[in-house]
Amino acid sequence: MAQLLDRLQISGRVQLVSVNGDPEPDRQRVLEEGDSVRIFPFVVGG
Amino acid sequence: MPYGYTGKILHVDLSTGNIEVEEPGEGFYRKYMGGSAVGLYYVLKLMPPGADALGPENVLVLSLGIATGAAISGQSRVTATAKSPLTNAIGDAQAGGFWPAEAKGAGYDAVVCTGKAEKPVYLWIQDGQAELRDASHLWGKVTGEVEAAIREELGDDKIQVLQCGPGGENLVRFACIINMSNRANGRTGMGAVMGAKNLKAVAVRGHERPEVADRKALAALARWGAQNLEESGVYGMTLNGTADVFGFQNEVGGLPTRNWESGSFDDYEPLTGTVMTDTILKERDTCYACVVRCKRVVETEWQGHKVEPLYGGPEYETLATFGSYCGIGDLDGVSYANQLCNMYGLDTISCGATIAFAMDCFEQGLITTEDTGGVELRFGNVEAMVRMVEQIGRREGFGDLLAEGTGRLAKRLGPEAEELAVVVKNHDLPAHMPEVKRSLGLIYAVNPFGADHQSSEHDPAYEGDFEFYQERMAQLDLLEQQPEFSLSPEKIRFALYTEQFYSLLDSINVCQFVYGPSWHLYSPNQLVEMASAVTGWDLSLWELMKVGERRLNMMRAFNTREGFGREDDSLPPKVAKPKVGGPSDGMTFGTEELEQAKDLYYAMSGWDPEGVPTRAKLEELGIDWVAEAIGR
Repeated sequence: MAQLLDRLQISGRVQLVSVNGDPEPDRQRVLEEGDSVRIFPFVVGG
Repeated sequence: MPYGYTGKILHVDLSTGNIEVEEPGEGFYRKYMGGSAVGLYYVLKLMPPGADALGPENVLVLSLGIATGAAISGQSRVTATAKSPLTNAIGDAQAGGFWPAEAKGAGYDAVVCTGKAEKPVYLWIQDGQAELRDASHLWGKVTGEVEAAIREELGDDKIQVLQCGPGGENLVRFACIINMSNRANGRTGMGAVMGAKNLKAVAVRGHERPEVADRKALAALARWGAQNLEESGVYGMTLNGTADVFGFQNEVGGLPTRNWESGSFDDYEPLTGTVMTDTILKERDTCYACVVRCKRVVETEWQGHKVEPLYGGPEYETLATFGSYCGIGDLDGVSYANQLCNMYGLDTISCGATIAFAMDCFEQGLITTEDTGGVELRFGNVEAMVRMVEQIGRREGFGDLLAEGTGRLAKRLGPEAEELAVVVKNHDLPAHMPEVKRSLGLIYAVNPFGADHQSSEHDPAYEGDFEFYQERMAQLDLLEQQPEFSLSPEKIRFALYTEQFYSLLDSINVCQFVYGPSWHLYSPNQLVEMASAVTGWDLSLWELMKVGERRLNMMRAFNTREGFGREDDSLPPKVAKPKVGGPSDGMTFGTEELEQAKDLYYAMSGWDPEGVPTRAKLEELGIDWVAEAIGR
């Protein structure tokens, strides 16, 4: 996971990552083939 | 006179028709800067204590900022300040668009409206000249019609029009002020104050904006903003509008659902920013000279009704209040409700929240079809939701009761209904949940104009691993990121400092998406650079933060004078009840935790244990006249 965020160059701005629909706080999680990853930045709606 | 300002305040006595120009001098501007602080100055000075918010004694101020109309992002803002008919506390609301920049060019830094016109009028300001004109023929018309009629009448399609819609005319307590037919001074019922004064609109046209002190420095900052937009957290709003946050809110269990029963909505997907972008988005609109372009323009249809680009598109808050609050996942239906609010001039947050509260009461059997005129006002009923919006705008049928707002309706229905009312000081909670953002819960409780999501930074910015934002937070002396869901003393310090900073933003009067301490385009130190470049003053962040603190204390003093105290700084019972389902299942925010946080927050603020600013604090801020005004 950490490598993915680094590769996308957004690691410092990510608020939340979920894997297959569940929040995943562990950035060391090893992703597997077919995993669905959703990455959320931190912003506030108005 | 400093650069950036016109140096003139327009005073309009609607009772007599008298119009005067005041030139307050540099000291006034440096102390209050603009926006909300300037508005408060006049409301505190000119409104007698205990005045009826819908009476002629209320004072309505429309104020601009130091940089309004300058060539940089986030500056075209107007603040409306008056006693609120919804809360009876201070009322305060900001809007963007092109009206503010045009109004600066028309020659004034603020317009102070007192009294009440005998018949409907509108104020026409052009290149320093102001006159009141008959608006009888505009009364009852929706915003788009009024804007077109005024432009045709005055023969200039570049005129910008700020107005109350039929909602304001009908004294809906959460009526807003609209410009461009889609930009709202949304909260606290400022449109009803306009309507009560028989002031239909303020039309402006101007050709000469004030000089900027250092054009090169301002241009360099503007260039930096354009070059760094895509690297900034605000870029998500460029792509998907404020709705960009919708999926995140649901993912963390922070999306109020079915009148705050849950923080998670099963049918959330159709309401997300990406779906809006992929389906009904027609274009990305902007405010004057802003590169962010966060405004949505949508075009679609709902049950044979056209949703027209003129009325913009729904913001995150609107999608939540008409959507998840009401258990509705119909993007077209929510977009149509948004259009109705912009046509009638209704605050989408309070409008949707009030309907959601009524749906909750209906589900609990506290109201029936006998009350609603036969409407099955149940969660998920999009037709019923839209019908209620129309009835509120016209004050017809059950909508006449809803137009009084959640708090008053709850009181009328009794104690069981009051348990379901999600309000602070009668002000409906916006779509961010204290259960998952605990310092925001504190700010919801203590904020002088009621629960507000744009009065401090939200907790996640000071939680977790945010290396990208830490440099900006450090500019506000916030150095120790805190654990998730905490309300530690450090978190309360974070809430207070960022509250003072946001208060400053509303006084300089710039956009809170463009300037801020984390995901925003510009940092706090860049705000200082911008303000110095415009005015020519050698400003520091310390001096500016004092402006923000001054405004907060003036608001608090106003409320003290109107009889508000510590007991009004509360959170609604629903927030203390365990949430049902999703990531925030079982989470609460209880009274004991809030009371402890208030003790520390008041002490940090220099207020007494009842939450009243001490004379020493007001003197420290250089506003001892406020102490006199509240008898301290």
